[in-house]
Amino acid sequence: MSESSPTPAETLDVGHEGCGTLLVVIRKRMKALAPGAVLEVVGYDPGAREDLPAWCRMTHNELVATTGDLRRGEPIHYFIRKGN
Amino acid sequence: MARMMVSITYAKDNPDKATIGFVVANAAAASGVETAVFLSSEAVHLSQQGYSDAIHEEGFKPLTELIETFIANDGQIWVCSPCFKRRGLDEDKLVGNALITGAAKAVEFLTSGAACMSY
Repeated sequence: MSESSPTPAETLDVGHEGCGTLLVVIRKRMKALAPGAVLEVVGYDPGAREDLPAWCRMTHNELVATTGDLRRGEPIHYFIRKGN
Repeated sequence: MARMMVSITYAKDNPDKATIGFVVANAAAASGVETAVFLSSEAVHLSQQGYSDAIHEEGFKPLTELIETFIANDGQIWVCSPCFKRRGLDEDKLVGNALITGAAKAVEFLTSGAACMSY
């Protein structure tokens, strides 16, 4: 599931946070970014693998790349480009 | 294609509701409706292989058979992530094609026009 990872404007470590709480935190950070800027979200929530793509589609942001593997004990890195 | 979500919140604490939820989900999937079962609260136990083997309500098929039939008919099973984590369940023991997810996936599905029934 890895794509080439863009250089993020900001990195947000969310630890094991997930579901609605995670989305509220990400939304707040994204609002502070300029359109086109990339936010890197680093986290361990297994649900976020399905949730963040859905959230990006709903909010018209672009999930540019995803790296990492929870089964290997690695956090997932989500690179989200802010939409216009 | 029409879309439908069946939300289930019970497991062995209410085997009747857990069973009926999958009966309805099977009806939807068998009718050509894109169907997702969203398991939250105690129902996340139903995502674990073997858990439903002990549930067989009178007048219905055994729950394990209902779940297997649902999966075989392209039904999707989504499992609430925080509910799953707080019960210490095992991702390696998920049934069929079950996916651990948060609320955003359910919100996207529902706001795109899916109907919902809750048990």
